[in-house]
Amino acid sequence: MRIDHPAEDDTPRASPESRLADTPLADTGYDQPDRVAYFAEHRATVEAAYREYQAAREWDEAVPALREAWENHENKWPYPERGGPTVHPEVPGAWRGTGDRYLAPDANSEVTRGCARIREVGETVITPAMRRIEAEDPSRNLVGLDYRLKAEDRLKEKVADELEARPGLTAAKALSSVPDAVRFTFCYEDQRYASGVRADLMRLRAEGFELAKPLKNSWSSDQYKGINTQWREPETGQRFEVQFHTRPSFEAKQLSHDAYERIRNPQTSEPELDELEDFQRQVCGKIPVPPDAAEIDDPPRKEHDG
Amino acid sequence: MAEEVAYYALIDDYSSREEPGGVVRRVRHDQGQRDEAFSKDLVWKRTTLLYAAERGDTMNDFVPITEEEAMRIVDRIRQDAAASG
Repeated sequence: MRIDHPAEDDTPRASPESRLADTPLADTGYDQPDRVAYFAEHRATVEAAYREYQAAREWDEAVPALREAWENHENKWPYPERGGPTVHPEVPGAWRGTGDRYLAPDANSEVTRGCARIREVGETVITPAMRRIEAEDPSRNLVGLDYRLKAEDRLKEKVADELEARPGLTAAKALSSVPDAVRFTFCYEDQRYASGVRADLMRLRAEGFELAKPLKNSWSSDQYKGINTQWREPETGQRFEVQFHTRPSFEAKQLSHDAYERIRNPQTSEPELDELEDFQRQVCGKIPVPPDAAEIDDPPRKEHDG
Repeated sequence: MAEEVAYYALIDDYSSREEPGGVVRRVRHDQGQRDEAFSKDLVWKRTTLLYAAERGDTMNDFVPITEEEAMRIVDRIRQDAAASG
């Protein structure tokens, strides 16, 4: 579909005000000030639609070259496939995962138990609430819902990374502070992004969830575009994450998922890491930033929010 | 290019700006850069937590600190480890 931009060709045209002056007022049923306002609003709407169309088109046009850039990276830096069975550790009951990450037997069993509890709360409490929130506005939707529960091995990777860098922390505490063991993503049209995100932040509050941390607005970042928020379900204390994206920023996240996984692997070499960051920068540079997205901040706080 | 080192305090749910939970350093050199955390084994080890935080992960906050502050955190971690046997 093509949307005509009001000022796209070189045809000289009069301003809406001067065109209005040529139209008999009786033909429209509007008084002059109302008509000026009407045309100004109409023009703004058309221009906004055009900007969105243009931005989406630029992103769509950039995608093939970005995919090719990633294919070139994979050819240059071959990588073992992940997702097979966990390597059996030499210590019974211990866990060893990608990047030579390791959990001792007691930490491993603690995390395994915790994962079962997270899945239960995620499925019986948080997901139904998120579905209710989704149903309140048909102009956007939850995407990637099949992946709302982080796989157990990925959770163990996060706990292992945290324990390594965080002396004194127990596995149970590390697991309880993983923000995205349960995660959701809302996807909006560009022009409705800012108002849509603000409305959904309030809906999450209204559902009884507490913001566990200030929201993380990364629309100005050159490595990631979007907003990530961390919430707490008050009865169980279970954390979950809600991300707020546009179609291009969500697609960019998918497109650079493997690059991110490599960045997160402690065994990725430093020269490759440099190139991975360049790739992420390329991808992010093509994502259109929706109006006012970088200005979105926390919703008004409730007293008990952490 | 000589190595350049930047230090960051790691702050999570169980620590604070006043008493950070850990310390991370980013070492830049000719061939790129590497991130290291002062680990539970009391040595600097490769970490990807800072990269994750730069890409939207909300688990930890990282606050730039001076080398002196970083060394104070390292000393505290060593003392805690010695005290807990």
